[in-house]
Amino acid sequence: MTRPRFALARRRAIEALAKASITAPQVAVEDVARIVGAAIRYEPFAGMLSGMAHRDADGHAIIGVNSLHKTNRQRFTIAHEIGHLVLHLDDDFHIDERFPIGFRDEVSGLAVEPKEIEANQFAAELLMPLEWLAKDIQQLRLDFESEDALEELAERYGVSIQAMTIRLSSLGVLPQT
Amino acid sequence: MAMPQGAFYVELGRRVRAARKKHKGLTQEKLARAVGLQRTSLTNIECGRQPLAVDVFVRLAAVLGCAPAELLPVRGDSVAERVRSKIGALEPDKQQWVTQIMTPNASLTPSTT
Repeated sequence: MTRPRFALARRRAIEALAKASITAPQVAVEDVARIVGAAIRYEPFAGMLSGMAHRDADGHAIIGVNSLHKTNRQRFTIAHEIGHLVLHLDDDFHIDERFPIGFRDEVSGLAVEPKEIEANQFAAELLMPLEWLAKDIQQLRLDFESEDALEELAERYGVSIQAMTIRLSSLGVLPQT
Repeated sequence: MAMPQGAFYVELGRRVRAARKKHKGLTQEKLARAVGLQRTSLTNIECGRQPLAVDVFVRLAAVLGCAPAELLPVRGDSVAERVRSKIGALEPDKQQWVTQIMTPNASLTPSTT
């Protein structure tokens, strides 16, 4: 795999939402995890570690989450790990040691692996579906000049302001950062 | 047909090759001919890049002098091994966290932070 498969990530996220019968924010990520056959487990880790995904030979999956992180970040981690499980079937064990959002590796300055970009894309599409966002932006007449609008939208979707900012930038609603 | 077929065929191929190596002078060419395969097909099978028909599989076991079951991967074995080695490569504190997560008594509810 050389290029991240953005369209596939989006399709899988839309399929997962449909399977879990989720039609409005906030997306119940735990329900989506259950639908894809994953149990979620929470344990604290004081350091750079967000989560992990594991699938055994019988298809049972476990998603591990760092319980010291804030709720919104845990939600993003779970969505990101579900992404690994539905997109990267060949990967039976995966651990995410960095902050899962952000499209560049802040330490080395290198772009992160295609798998990570795909899992992030899946998470963004799952937690902040394009269709819902478009409707909200139209109906709420959000004024993105003010921080409040972003905050309001992030809260509505149960994501961090950073995650919402990246999402809106990539959709062209906000200027690219 | 020569493309990755997954862990099952990789393990099956590994076992076929190991069984063949036990017979001195049993080359891929000779074994292939004995079971009615092209040498390249046997090479692909041993690398896990090609599935094979059941009758060919049974003939292979017969020529190799072993029971067909001995050539079959034990379900879950190779996955568990791969996972173990990936976990083993982590830093100790991370290994500990992963082990906690993978044991059934890990916390099933998020802590409220």
